[in-house]
Amino acid sequence: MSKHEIHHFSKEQESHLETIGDYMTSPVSGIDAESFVREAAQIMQSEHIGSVFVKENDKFIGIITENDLSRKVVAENLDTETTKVRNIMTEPLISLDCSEHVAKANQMMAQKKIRHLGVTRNREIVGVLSVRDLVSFYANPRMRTW
Amino acid sequence: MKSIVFSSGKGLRAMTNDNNKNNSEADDILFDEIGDYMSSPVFSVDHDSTVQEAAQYMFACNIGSLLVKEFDNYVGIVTETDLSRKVVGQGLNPETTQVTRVMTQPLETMDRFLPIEEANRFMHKNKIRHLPVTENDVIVGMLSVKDLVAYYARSSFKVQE
Repeated sequence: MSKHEIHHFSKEQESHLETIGDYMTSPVSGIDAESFVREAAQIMQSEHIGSVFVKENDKFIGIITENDLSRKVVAENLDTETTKVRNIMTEPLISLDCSEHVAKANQMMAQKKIRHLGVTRNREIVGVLSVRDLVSFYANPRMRTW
Repeated sequence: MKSIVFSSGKGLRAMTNDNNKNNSEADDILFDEIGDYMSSPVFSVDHDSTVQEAAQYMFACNIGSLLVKEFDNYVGIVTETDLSRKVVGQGLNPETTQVTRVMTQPLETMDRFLPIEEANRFMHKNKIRHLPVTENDVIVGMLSVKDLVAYYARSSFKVQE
């Protein structure tokens, strides 16, 4: 599913395109915590994304972002082929339920100074919401009921 | 430098906001300008800096991009995306790689008196998070995707009132 398209969960909801689930990108891929950081950067490049969730035993345990790669790997000149994703990822993965209002995601991102949020449904990660998705939401007042 | 210039002078009327509008007086609405939301001054590194120096400076300033300066001209922009995809992704050595090798160029800029919604459209279309802002063809600020959120989140409250 391409970015910024309304995904199927929205149809099951009563609200009018105001929830995080309406604006998130889903499904999400993940990278194993034991992978090397170079691989994470290559995934970001090939998928044109700014972050990848980190998995351990099929559970999402953190997130690795362009900020982590720049601030930790480049600024400190870590070896990209021996440094593991686990060692520079940001954890825990901060997430909100897909039924929450987008405004809450905005508040959370501003407060934590982050650009990506995990989106959960029944406590399972089902998507990602980025700062760009926030712009899409706020820039479309016609779609909102308030 | 590719620059999009609309016109300068505060108090421009919103002629570009909606191309289907007729010319009734009610349509003379002031729009919010890029310059009202940009951050200024801009941060830059010299063209012979290494990517490691650029990364360190970026995080000392707590920002996600830096302009690259060669003598008195800005010749490109280096962002977290460049550092991640090019330096980490290709395994370049941060200590010896110059910023000019990984920077994004040419610089795409917009005039500070243009409507901020134009900047949003442009940034969305070009998939960029940072837009250098000019006044009389000189770079005077930077507009980031965070500034767009600030603008739109604020104007949504205006709608609510």
